[in-house]
Amino acid sequence: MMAAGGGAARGGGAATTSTSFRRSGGSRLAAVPGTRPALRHGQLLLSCGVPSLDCVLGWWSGTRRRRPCGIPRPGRPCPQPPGRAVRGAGRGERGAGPSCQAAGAGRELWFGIEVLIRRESAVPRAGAQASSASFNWELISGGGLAVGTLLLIEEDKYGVYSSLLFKYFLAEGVVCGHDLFVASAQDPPANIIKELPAPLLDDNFKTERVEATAAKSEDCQDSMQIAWRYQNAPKVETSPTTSMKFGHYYDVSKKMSPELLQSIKWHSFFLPDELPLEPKLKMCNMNCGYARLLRSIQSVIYQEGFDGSHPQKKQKNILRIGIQSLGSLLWDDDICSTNTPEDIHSLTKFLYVLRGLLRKSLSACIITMPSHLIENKAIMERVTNLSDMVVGLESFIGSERETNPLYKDYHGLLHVHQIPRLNSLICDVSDTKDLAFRLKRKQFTVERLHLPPDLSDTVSRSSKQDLAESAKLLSSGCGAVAIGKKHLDF
Amino acid sequence: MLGLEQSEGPFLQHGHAHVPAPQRVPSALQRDSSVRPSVPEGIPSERPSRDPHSASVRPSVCAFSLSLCPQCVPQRVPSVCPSVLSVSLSVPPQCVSPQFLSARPLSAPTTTWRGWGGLEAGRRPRPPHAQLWSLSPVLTRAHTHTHAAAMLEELNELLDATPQRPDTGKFTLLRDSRTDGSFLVHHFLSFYLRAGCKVCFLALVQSFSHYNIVAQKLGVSLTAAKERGQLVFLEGLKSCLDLVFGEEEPSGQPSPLQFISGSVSNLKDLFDFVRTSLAPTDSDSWKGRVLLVDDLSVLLSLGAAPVDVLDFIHYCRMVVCSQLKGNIVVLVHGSEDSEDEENKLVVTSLCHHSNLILWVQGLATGFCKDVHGEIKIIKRLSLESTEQDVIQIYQYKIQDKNVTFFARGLSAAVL
Repeated sequence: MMAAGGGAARGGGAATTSTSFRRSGGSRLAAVPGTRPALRHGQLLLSCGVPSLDCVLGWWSGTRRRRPCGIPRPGRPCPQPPGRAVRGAGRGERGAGPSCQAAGAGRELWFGIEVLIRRESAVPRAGAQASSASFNWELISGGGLAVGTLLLIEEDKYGVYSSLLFKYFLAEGVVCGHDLFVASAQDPPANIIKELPAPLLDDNFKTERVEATAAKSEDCQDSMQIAWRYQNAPKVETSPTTSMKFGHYYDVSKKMSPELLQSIKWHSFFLPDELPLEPKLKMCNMNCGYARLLRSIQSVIYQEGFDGSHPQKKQKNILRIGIQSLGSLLWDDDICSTNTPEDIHSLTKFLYVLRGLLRKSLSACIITMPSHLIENKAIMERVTNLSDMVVGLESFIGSERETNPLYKDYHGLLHVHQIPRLNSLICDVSDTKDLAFRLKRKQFTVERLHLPPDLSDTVSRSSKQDLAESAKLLSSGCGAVAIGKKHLDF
Repeated sequence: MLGLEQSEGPFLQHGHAHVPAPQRVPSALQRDSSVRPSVPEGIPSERPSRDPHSASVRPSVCAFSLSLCPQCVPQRVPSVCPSVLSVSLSVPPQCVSPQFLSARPLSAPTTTWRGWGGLEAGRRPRPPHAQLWSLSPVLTRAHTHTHAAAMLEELNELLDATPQRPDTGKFTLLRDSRTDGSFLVHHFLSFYLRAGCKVCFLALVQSFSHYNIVAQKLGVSLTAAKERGQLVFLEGLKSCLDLVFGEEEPSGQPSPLQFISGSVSNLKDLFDFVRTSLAPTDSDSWKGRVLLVDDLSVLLSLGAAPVDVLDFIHYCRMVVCSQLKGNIVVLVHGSEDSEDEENKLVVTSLCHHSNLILWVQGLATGFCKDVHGEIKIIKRLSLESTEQDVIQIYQYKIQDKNVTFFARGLSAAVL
């Protein structure tokens, strides 16, 4: 088993059975399902439901010098951690996708990891456990949302894609068995939960489940083999167990099955239901809706023990908090309607207290915010500073870019406004800043923006200039926005 | 050591990729115990493969770096190899302070050509920008890396500061626009703790564990400093939670962040917190007092009026800088094109009377992997007289435990 794992790391020629095995070693180390530790800042990471967006959110960038293996390549399926994705062994180097590239060419990667892997694979461990090489690969490839942080999504104009991301985030929580907290002022949370997309139950997913059961019974190899052969048998599907895998794919055309939904615990906050109960709840001069929401989140965190106050309590779990369209008129906030709102500090105070709550508990939060409606840009600047991650969606719906041939492959652009600084001097910066998203028939993916091939020699593209302009706009990283056309830094 | 030596810079820059065979190494070099195999002979017009980590190139890097600083470089080779590849002259580390680099070009470098086959063939004309290369601060990086990674040593050099004798009565403003300047806060925190000053740290942005972990990377333990009473840490996120959800304080002591609740509008409680925590006692023997704020813009977000914030800073200045002869270091966000007028007011006003401004900006041309931003150091010689400010501009790159500073355009990745 060890040898097979090491061979995979070097040559990419491991058999399918053994690669699917290797993951159990890695997942054993993550105590909470659906999370994995980040190597550099030591925080637990969880997936936001879109694996390609995970990569954008937080790169394990350390001393890595090469292009990371997980960055989505145009026209290719989303990246998967290499250890698990070697399905067709011995494929071509580039055609095999990022995973094989990483697994297949150890020396392509940076020095330290190579040494690490060699050392790890040289020390055999007892039992049929996986080589930790795969564990390392899992860690270095891809990022995620760190537990205790806040992801802010700036909604696109019609809120189509932001609500999709919102649902992905929650759906990932369902599949991983996390607790959910859904807050909304617009759609009843029960409806949001009902409309979560169904996970794509591909082979990986199934073997994953089998593996989870196999790991429990402790006789990995044999039961694994057998179960793997019978993975299509319906009995595997009947009991939805929580998946230990990190990051899943979803089919937006289907809704999640009710059985899966029943398996998790969720809390809801629906502003219209809350308001009439107690007429006065003034907390720190904050808007009543915000104050109530904070109180509600706080009580869930404390009562359910997400703050670690009951260490004796069974299995630790993660609380995923989703807040829809925060700051909109429905939250009784006037920042969207006027340039000089009455209470300019409510939203920022709310975010600050929420950040404090998140930092002290095993939870992660996603907030969508209609930033294009907020007149007073100063508020948005402050909100950005108070969030850990800010991602803006700019959809092409209704914009002139929809018909631009340069953007024909995409449905919108993704701007990263803020990336988290967590436990380290550097912040995770992915190599590329030009990102676009697209909604394929079933999947939402984030990709590097690239030009379509210019096939003609003679006819110059009229909109080249346009793309150059927009590319300039895009290349804003870590808040650094390109200004000035003729500027030369070095 | 002082002898500058130059490799074939030009052939590293031009020509086609070629991976030289490592075994073809001049024997003279092999005999040198400390120098490992180097660029082989016979390929002067070709350059090694682009990958700095490929086995064939790494040895030559060793040769370079060993000649820089023999006692410390060998174990650090992997961390410097890509840069050293393109840097050709070595200067002893003690000469390579960044001021030195930017101040004067090396007029006549004495180049000694090491006995490499390709180089012995004849002195090829040096490229016109060879002198620039000789001044690359990358060499400094190689040096600081190896010695104890305490604070950001390079920044100390730039600021002429040592923990042995910290300044007194200075107000330092850290300002960042379009990028994150919190690395400066971490630097000053570890700097003053190391200097033996008593530090009051108003940490409003992150949790204690974050600051502690980063400080450990810089060689300082915040928990230990707290225990021995050197550090007074106000964790804004936590005390805000206590204020919002907590029951009435048993002691009746108002929280430092009482202004959030709206019962008082000014920041008097925060000031009282600072004053009591920095108040001198008979027994302590701290070398100085320091107030550190990360960051002031949060106070505005939490509902404090700009005037109150300025008042707070003014009072702190009176107490800390004037009475106690201590220092204040404050971080603010604020770019020139910001639409946050309140914040702008605070930033401009603070800029107006600080003794030292470290202004970190993202690159105007956008994000770059190897240059994270530009730092403008504005030193007020005197707040009263009309003497010109001293302005220095450097670019920087943040690494895991260190930040390297270099003159503009002299990033290792560019050279």
